[in-house]
Amino acid sequence: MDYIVQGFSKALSLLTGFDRELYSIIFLSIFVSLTATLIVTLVFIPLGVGLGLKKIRGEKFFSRLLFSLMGVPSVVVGLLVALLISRRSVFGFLGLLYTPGAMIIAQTFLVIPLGMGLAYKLSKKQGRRIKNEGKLMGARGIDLLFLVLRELKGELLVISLTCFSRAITEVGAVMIVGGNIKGKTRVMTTTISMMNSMGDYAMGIALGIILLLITFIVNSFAYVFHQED
Amino acid sequence: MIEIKNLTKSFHGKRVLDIESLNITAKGITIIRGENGLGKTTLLNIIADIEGQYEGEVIKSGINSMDMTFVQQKPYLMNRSVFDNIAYPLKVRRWSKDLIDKRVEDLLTEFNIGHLAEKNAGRLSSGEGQKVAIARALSFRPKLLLLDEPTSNLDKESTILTEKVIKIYAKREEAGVVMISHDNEQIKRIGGRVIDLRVYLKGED
Repeated sequence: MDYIVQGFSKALSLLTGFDRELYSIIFLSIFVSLTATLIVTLVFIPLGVGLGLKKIRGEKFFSRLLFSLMGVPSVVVGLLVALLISRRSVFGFLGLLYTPGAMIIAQTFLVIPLGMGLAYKLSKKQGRRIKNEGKLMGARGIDLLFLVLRELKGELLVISLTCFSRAITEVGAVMIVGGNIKGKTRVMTTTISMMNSMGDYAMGIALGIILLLITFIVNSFAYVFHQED
Repeated sequence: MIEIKNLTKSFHGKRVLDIESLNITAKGITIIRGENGLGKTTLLNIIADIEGQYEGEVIKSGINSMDMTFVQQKPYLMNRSVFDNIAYPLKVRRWSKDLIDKRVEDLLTEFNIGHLAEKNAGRLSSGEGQKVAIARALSFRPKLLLLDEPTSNLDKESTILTEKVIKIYAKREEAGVVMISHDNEQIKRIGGRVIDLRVYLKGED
C-alpha cells in the first residue's frame, strides 16, 4: 500500500509544483484532442446533420455502417492511419508519422463516426421536423441549415463534448501513430500506460487525476446542456 | 385555385388517401371536414409540399411555395422568444428591422399575446403555442394559409378571437384559407365553403 500512498503524495507535489514535463504532456493531450474534436465539430457534425435532413437511398445501411464504425477499436484506427502515413506509403512524403499532426489525424478518424453518426441520427429524428417547419416559414438553403443547427445546438454541443471525451481518453491510436516520444508526442494516456509498466506511479497518478478531472468537467457540461435543452 | 386530380397516397402499402378530383378556391375560407382517419391532414401536408411521395397532380395556380404556409396541429416553435418566432418568416424574406418590429407588434396585439413577447416559445402552454404559430403564419401575409384544427387547444374566448382574426385576414388580404375543423359550431361561425372529404374519396359512400 505504501507505494500507492507515496505515488499520490508525489503526484500532488508534481501537480502543485507545476512540473514542466507533466504540464507539457497535459497541454499536448488537450491540444491534440481539441483539434480533432474541432475538425469533427466544424465539418463532420454539420455533414451528419445535412445528410440526416435528406431522404437518401440506402438510409438503413448508412446508419448501420456509421454505428458499426463507432465501435472500431482505437488501435485499428491507429494502425490504418500509420499504414497511410508511414514513410513507404502514399502519404509518406508528408513526414507525419510520430508527430502531433499524425495523432490529430488518427483521433479525427476515430471520432468521425461518433460525431457524424450521432448527428445523423439526431437530424433524422428531430431535424426533419424543424426543416419542414422552416420551409413552411419560407427558409431555404443556408437559412434552413442554420435554423436546424441553431435549434439543435444544445444536443450538438453534447455530441461534440462526447467526441472530445472519446478522443482524450483513447490510448491505442495515439500510441501507434505518435510513438509516445518524450517531449514530442507523449500524451496523458500513453504516459499513464508507460509509467504503469515501469512501476513509476507518481506521474501516472498525477495524469490520471487530471484525466479524470477533464472527463468529469466535460461530462458535467454535457449534462448541464442536455438538461437545459 | 388548387386543383387535385387522381391523388393517391399510401403508407407502408396501405392507401390512406384516394381522391379523383377536387378543386379548392384559393380565395376566401374553405373548411375541410370529415371523420378521423379520412386523410384530411395528409391532404394538407401534400398541398403544403411537406409530404413528398404521392401519386397524382396537385396544381396550385398562381401560388408559389413562398406565398403559402401551413400551421400543423402540433406546430413546432423555435427555441427562442415569441417575438423572434413571429419575426422569423420576415427575417428570411429580408424585411427591414422597422417593418418587422411593426408587423410583429401588430400581430401580438391582434392575438392578445403581447405579454408573451419575450417569453421562450418552448415554455408556452399548447394553447398559447397555437396562437403564436398562427400569428407567425400570418406574419408575411401568405396568399394561401393552411390550418390543421387551429383552435383545438384554445379556450372558447381565444377560439372566437382566432376565428375573427382569420376571417378578417382572408377578407383584407384576399387570401385563401383552407382549414380542417370538426366543430360544427365553428363551421357555422366562420362560414365559407365546406368540403366533406368523404364525398370526394373513391370507394366511399
